[in-house]
Amino acid sequence: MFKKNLAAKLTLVPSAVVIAVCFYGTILWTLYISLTHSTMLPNYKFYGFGQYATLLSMPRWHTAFANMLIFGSLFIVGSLVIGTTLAALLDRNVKAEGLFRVFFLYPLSMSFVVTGLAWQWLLNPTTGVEALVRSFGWQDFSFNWLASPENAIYAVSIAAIWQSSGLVMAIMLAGLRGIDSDIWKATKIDGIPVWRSYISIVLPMLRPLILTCVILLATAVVKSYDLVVAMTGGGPGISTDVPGKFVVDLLFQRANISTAAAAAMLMLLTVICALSPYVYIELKRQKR
Amino acid sequence: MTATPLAPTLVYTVPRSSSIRPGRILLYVILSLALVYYAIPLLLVISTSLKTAEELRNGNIFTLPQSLNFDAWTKAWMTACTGIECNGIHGNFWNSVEIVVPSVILSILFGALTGFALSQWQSKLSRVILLSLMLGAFIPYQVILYPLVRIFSSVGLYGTLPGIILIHIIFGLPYMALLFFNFYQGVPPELSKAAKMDGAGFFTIFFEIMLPMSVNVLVVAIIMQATGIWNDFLLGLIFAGRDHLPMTVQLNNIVNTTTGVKEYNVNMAATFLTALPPLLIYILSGRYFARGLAAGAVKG
Amino acid sequence: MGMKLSLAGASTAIGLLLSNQAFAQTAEVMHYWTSGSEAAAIKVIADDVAKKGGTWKDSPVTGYEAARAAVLSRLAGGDAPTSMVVDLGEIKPLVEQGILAPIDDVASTNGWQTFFPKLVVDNASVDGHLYAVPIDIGTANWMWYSTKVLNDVGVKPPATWDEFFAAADKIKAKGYIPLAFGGQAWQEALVFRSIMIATGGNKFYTDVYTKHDVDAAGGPLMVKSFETFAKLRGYVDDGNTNRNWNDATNMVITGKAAMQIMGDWAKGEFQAANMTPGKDYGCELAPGTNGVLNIVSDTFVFPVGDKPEQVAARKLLVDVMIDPRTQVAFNTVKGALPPRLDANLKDADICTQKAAALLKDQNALAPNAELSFSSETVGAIKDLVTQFWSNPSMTPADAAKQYADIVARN
Repeated sequence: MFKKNLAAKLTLVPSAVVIAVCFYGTILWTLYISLTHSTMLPNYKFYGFGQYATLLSMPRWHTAFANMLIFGSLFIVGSLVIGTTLAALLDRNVKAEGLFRVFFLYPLSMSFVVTGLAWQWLLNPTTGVEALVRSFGWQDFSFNWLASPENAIYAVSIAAIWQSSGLVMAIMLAGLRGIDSDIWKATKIDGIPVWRSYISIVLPMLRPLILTCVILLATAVVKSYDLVVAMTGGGPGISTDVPGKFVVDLLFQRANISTAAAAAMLMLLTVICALSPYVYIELKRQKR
Repeated sequence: MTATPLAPTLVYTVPRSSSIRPGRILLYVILSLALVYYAIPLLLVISTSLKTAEELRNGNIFTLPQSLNFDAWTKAWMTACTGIECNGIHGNFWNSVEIVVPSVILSILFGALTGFALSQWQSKLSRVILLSLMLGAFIPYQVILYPLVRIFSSVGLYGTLPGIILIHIIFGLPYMALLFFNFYQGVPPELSKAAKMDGAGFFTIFFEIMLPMSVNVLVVAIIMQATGIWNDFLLGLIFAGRDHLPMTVQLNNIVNTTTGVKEYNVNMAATFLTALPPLLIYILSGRYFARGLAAGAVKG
Repeated sequence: MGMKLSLAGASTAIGLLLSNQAFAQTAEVMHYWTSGSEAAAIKVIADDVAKKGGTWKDSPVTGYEAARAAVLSRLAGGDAPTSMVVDLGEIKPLVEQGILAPIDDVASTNGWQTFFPKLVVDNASVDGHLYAVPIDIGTANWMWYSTKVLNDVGVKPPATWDEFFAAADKIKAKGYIPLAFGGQAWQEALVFRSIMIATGGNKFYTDVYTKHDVDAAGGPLMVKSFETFAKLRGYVDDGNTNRNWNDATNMVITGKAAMQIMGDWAKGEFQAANMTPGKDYGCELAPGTNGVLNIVSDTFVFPVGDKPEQVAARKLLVDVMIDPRTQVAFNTVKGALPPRLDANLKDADICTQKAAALLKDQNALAPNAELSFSSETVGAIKDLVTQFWSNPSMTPADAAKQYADIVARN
C-alpha cells in the first residue's frame, strides 16, 4: 500500500520539509513571539495574551481589519469579474489580441511605488481627473474619493484591481484556450448563444482556475503594503489602513514585533476561516 | 459533457472578424474602454519621464512633454545616484538576471512536480497537504523575516546567491503547486494509466507526457514567477548578499528618498526601464496563448 | 639557525601586521542618503576616509521600513556592517538590546561630553559611555515662503499664529493657497509640534516631551494647540491628502501657495529650482517658534564586534566623523547643522546661520518625538494627530485627553 505512488510521495518529501521548516516553523515562531513582550528584537520570555488585548484596543487595528474585509471582497470580486470578462472577450478571436493582452498585463510588471504615485496624482482633486474635468467647464464635477476618509478605500480598490486583473485574465485565457473545440462545436449545434455558453458551460469547467485566482488574489490582499503606502499612506487619517501595512509599521517603525506577530496571527486566522470552506469544497469537487 | 460525433459535412469555424455584427462592435468597444483604463497610468508614467524638471514643476500631470526628451532615461540608467555611487540602475542588471533565471526555472519545476505528485496521489491527505501549503502564503512575509534569516544563516545560506534562489523557490511553491495541481486534475486519468501500463515510471510520465502538455500553464507560471521575482525588492535586499543585490535595490534607492530632492522624471524612467524585461516576456508569450496548442494533445 | 628563524619570524609578524592593517580599514556603512545633495554629503565623509587610507563600502537603503529590515536582518544573520546611520532617539533602545559598541575608547573622542549640545550628548550616551557620532542636526520648525506671493498680497511673513491667520485670510482672498500642506502622518505631526511650541513655548513642549507630564499633555495648552491646528484646515487645499512634502514645496516654488512649514531639507528643493534665499524665497522659524529649534539628529552607530579588522575600521570612521571640519563639510552640502559646537559656520547660508546661534542655547532645543518617547508612543501620537486632522468631528478636548492617555502609557 505504501509502495503505491511511492515516487509521487518521495517527490513530496522536499516540499514537506520546506513547508514544515520555513512556513510552519516560522508561523509557530510568530505565534510564540505574539505571546511575549518583544520590542525591536525577540525577547523569549513568556508574557501571555497581553499583546492581543493591546491590539484589540487600537482603533487602527479595527479600521485595518474592516478594510481588509471591504477592500478584500471588492478586490477579489472585481479582479475576477473584470479579468474573466476580458479573457472571454479576448477568446473570441480578436484582431490585435496580442496588443490588448500586453496592455492588460503590463500593470503587473511595474513597481507599485511609482504606479501608485501615478494613481495618486490621477485621483487627487487638485491635480488629477477632477481638476481636469473642471477645467473643461464642468465646475460641479467632483471625484475626490482619495481625500474623503469614507471613500478613499474604494479609490485604492480601483488601482488594486487595475494591477491584478491582468493576471486573472492571463490565467483564465490560458484555461479558455485549453477548452476542447468540440465543446464549442456542440454549443453551436445546440444553438446556445455565445455569452450563455460562457456562463453556463465553459466557466464552470474552469472552476479549478477560478480557485487558483481567488487564492492568488486573497494572498495579494493580505500582503498589500506598497499599494496603500504609495497611494494614500494609510490616510486620510487612518482610513485606508490595511493589516499588511499595520503589521509592517509595528514591526519596523514602532519596534513592536510582538504586537505585529499578534496581528499577523489574527490575520491568518481570519483568512483560514474565510477561505477554508470554499477551498475545501472546490478541492473535493475535483476528486476524480 | 461529451462531444457528439459530428456529421462529416459540418465544419466549425470561429467567426471571422470581418463579419460586422453588433456583437463584434460591442466587443471592441468594451475592449477599447478597458484599454483606456489600463493605459492611462502608463501614459502618465511615460509622459512624466519625458519631461524636464522645469516642465514638471510648472505644468500639471496632464500637460504633454514638450519634446521626446530621454535625458531622464539616460540618467536613470547611467548616472542617477543610489548612494555614493552615481551609476544609475544598470549596475545590478546582471545580478537580477542571475537571480531570476534559476529561480523561475527551479520554482516552476518544483511546483509542477509537487502539483503532479499531489494529483497522482489521490487521497484526503494530499488535499490536506495542498491546503497546508497554501497557508504559508497568507502570512505577511515581513513578520517571518527574522526567523528565516536565522535559519538561513545557520546553514550558511544567508547572503548568498543559492540562498536567495531557494527563498524564491520556497515562496513560489504554494502558488506553483496549486496551479499545476489544478491543471493536472483536469487531465484525463486514462493518459497516465496507459503510460503506466506501458511501463513508464513517475518521472518519465512527468517529463515526457505531462510537461509538454502543460504549455498554457507553463506560460502563465512563467509570467507570474518572472514578474514576481524580477520585481522583488525586500527579499533580494535581505537574502542575496552584498554582491548579488538585484536591480530593484538600486531602483528603490532612486525612487524612495525621504528627505532628498525627488526627481519624478528619473523615478518614472527608472521604473519603466525596470519593468521592460517582464514586459518583453508578456509580448513574447503571445504565441503560446494560441487555441488548441494543448487541447489537441489531450485527444491524441 | 636561531637567528634565521627569528628573522623569519619577525618578517612574518611584520607581514601579518601589514596585511592586517591593509585589511583592517575596510568600513562598510549602511545609510539612507541617496539623492543629489545627500549623496554628495556622504561622499564627503567617504572621501575623508579614503584620504586616511581606508576603503569605504557603501550600503545604502532608502525607505525607513526597508532600511530597518535590512539592518535588523544583517544583525540577525551575524553579518553586521561596520557602521550604520540611525536617528539619535534610537540609540538607547539599541544599546539596551546589546547591539552597539561604545566608542569613547577612541582617542579622538576625548572630551566628548563637551562636543555637542547637552540634549545630543544625553541621547548619544548611556551610563557615561558614548555610543554614537552625531553627524547632523536637522531643524523641523521652519517656515518657507514665496516672496513673490507675500509681496503681491502685501503681507509680512507672520511671526505668530494670529498674524498667520490674518495674513492667510488676505492671501486666500487674492486667490493663493495660504499653506502648502502634505497630508501625511509625519508631516501633520511636524506641523502640530511647531504649533505646540508656539502655544506654550519650549517649556510646554518639554513638559510633555521630555518630562512626560500627563497633566500638561491633557491640559488647556494642548487643547488650544489642537484648536489652532483645526483652524488650519480652512487654509490648505483639498488635494493635500498623502501629498509628498516636496510636491507641497513645489507649490511654494511655483507661486501657487504662500507658505510651507517643513524642515530644513526643503532648502534642497529651492536650490534645485535655482532660487536664492532672501530673494526668491524666505526662511523663518515657524510662527511663534522663534528662539526654539525642533531638532532631529542623524548619528552613526557601530555594531558590536571585537575582531581586529572591525575595531580598526570603527576607529577610522570615528576619527573622520567626529572631526569638526568633516562635520562642517558634510552639513554644508546637506544643508543641516553640524552638531559639534566648535564648528566653523562662517560660510553657511543665511537660513543655517539663523539656526546656528540657537544651537548653543540649551533651552532653545526642542527634542523630536523619537528622542522623547518609545517608538510605540511616537506612532500612537502620529495616529492621533492624523486622525484629528482628517476627522472634524473629533473635538480638541477629546484629542487632548487622548494625547494625555498616550503619554501616560509611554
